[in-house]
Amino acid sequence: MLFNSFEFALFLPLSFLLYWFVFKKHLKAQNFFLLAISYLFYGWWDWRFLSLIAFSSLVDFIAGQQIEKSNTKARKKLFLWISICTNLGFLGFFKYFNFFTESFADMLNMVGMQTNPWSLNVILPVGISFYTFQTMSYTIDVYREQMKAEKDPIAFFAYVSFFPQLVAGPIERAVNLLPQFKIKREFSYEQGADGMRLILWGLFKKVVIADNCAIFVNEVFANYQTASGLELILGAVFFAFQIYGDFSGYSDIAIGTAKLFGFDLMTNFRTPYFSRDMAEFWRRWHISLSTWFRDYVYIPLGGSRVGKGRAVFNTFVIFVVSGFWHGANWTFIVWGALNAVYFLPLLLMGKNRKNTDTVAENRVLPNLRELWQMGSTFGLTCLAWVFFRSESVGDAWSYITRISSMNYRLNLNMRPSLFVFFCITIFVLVEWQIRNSNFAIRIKHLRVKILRYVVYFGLLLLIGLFGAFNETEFIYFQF
Amino acid sequence: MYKFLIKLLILLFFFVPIYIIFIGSVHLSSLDSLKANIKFKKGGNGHLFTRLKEADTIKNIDILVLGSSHAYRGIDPRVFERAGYKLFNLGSSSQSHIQTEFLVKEYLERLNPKIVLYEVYPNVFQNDGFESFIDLASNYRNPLGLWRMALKINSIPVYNTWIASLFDYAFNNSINFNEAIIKKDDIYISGGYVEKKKQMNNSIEELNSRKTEINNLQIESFESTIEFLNKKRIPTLLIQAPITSENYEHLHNRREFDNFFENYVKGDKVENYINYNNQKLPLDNSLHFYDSHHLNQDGVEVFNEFLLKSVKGYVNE
Repeated sequence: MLFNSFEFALFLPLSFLLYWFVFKKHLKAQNFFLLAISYLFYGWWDWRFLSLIAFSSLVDFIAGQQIEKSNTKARKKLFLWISICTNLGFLGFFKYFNFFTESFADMLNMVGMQTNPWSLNVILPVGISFYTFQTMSYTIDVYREQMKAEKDPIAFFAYVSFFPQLVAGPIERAVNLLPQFKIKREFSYEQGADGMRLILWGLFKKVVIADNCAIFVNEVFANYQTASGLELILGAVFFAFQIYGDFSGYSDIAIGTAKLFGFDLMTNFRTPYFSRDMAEFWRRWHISLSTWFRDYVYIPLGGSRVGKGRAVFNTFVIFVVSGFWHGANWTFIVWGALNAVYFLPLLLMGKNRKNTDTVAENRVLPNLRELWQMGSTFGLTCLAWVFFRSESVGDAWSYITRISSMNYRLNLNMRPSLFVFFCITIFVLVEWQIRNSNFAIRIKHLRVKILRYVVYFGLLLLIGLFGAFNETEFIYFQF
Repeated sequence: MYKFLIKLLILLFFFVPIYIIFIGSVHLSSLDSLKANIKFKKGGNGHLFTRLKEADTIKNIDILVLGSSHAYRGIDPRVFERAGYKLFNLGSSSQSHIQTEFLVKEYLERLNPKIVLYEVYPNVFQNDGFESFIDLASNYRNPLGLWRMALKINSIPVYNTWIASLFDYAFNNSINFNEAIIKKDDIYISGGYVEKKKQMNNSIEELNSRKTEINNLQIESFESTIEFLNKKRIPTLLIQAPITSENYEHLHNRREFDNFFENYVKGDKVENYINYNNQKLPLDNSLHFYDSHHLNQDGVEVFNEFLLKSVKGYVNE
């Protein structure tokens, strides 16, 4: 079920009413109801893969308890590895099997051993990268004794499959989300209203910004060989807005939906395109994933508090693995490596934590220096997005080299319409306005109440007038 | 909780009328840049406005044709008139079965045909009915009756276009509208047909191999239409009009569709099913088609002679 579908528009209010009016009295019943609707939400896409989530949850539930019960370190480790291998095994098979066999065959072909790759027609279960990482964080945290093992299977299964963030994050840590399943939840008007605002803003980002940008982006990337330099630049910039609108829109809807059910999820994006360097960008982009890799991969490897050489290696590992997490394609690996290349100079010069505040804090406009820093960071990001969006590394390289062809006419039949520019402008202005806050359209400061409603109605009208309504899947579903 | 729900309901209560008025006003204004999701287009590409206007004036015909552009661009009433049959073509652009069901129920009684020719191009079964709804909402005399269809197709641009058509209807915009009989290469011919004499360009469009996935809503409407025609005791012939052989062969599951339609014949629900793509008609791409989907006038003449022979028996019965 997609957030931008009519099915969800029925599913959400019905679930909401049943949750608060029928199942409110008993926490267990409420959790069981959440589990049931989460499985329904996921099963709407393909019910066969429900067994994967259920199996993953079961293994981790048992592993967590056994880790806690075990007296010896070796036994604890054994159950941790059972959990990790099960989760990574599923992920490896469903997501990377064909990539590895094909790459292996290519390698043999390169050394003159002709062979055909053995590939399977494997369907990638939606959201597998998200929920496996979420559930793995639980067993790792139990192993590290950062949390107690969960005794209530319903609460645990509901945590793993919690529908708002099941298929595209935020990847919640058990320490943050699981305890919320254990306490009685009371509906708060403020939380509900914030949730609705987030859903509205997320929908705007998805159907107006992302899906409209996608129309032009698809055209440019499909015909990059005939597109002019100007069109190629525009294509990359539009893709930057598309992927941000799409993914952060999903996160906003997920966080907003969770709020309606009395849950607080972590912030996943904090206006990343206003970053002044790449280190700041990565502190603001897909925060739940980057902090996951930081806590479970980078720091165990030694992080940056090791020798320079090792720190460089660790940084490369983290970015390349992060790229590979996105998909079984060399384009994602190059995208990750390129970001590591952007990041390394800052690390080596000790400037990677230089910009930890918000740009132009307590000021309306940035100064020229900040403007230059934001512009150049955005430019570098767009360049990396070309690899992320292209079908192959060769295509991406060819795309980039064609940008410099100095041909700046408009060759393609399709052009982005004026309203897309108009909506992007509104989007950027709102984002700039809320760069200090956790989420958009927190407009309580608008004293004249009617102005709030003007904002809500304005957004709804923009969605109705300019939204692209072909129920396009969210990009991150494929990851 | 109650405060939250009440506020939400109040918001909706005010928003829905504001939205409707806003969409209607945008439609009536000349602010074309705001009409991205208001697809209203009176006249459209297939002369539906003129066709429906004509349908409102005629009665008691011999043959009623239903279907997509393969029907209204492929079956010429003049060929049948020469043989003494009165034919009316109620096809429309990308007409999906959802729209066919509506049109049949609206016009059957008035047109009172002896036989129905139902053109069933497989791709229409995967259609969501969006394009044809837009055409119908923009050109049908009373769009109020289309609410059920709008709900069935269920998308924001469909609702917007329907709202626009209601405003158009309320402001009587159709009264002063005169659709041109000749639009570029298209000439509207009395009886619902659109004639095109053009021949195929040298550059044949690139065709992708495809499998038609069935949309259940289309199947429901198709079956409902057949059932309705059965109830009215109107003999029905299912036909597939010829498309270029290259185009036809690109459809992977064409045999499955043949079996699907033949089952209706076996079940006595329709009189016959004839797929003219399997009939080896003497049609040549460059001489008889103007694109991979549509016959030009020379092609229509050839095809209609064969069609006439097949239909004659059923009409005379």
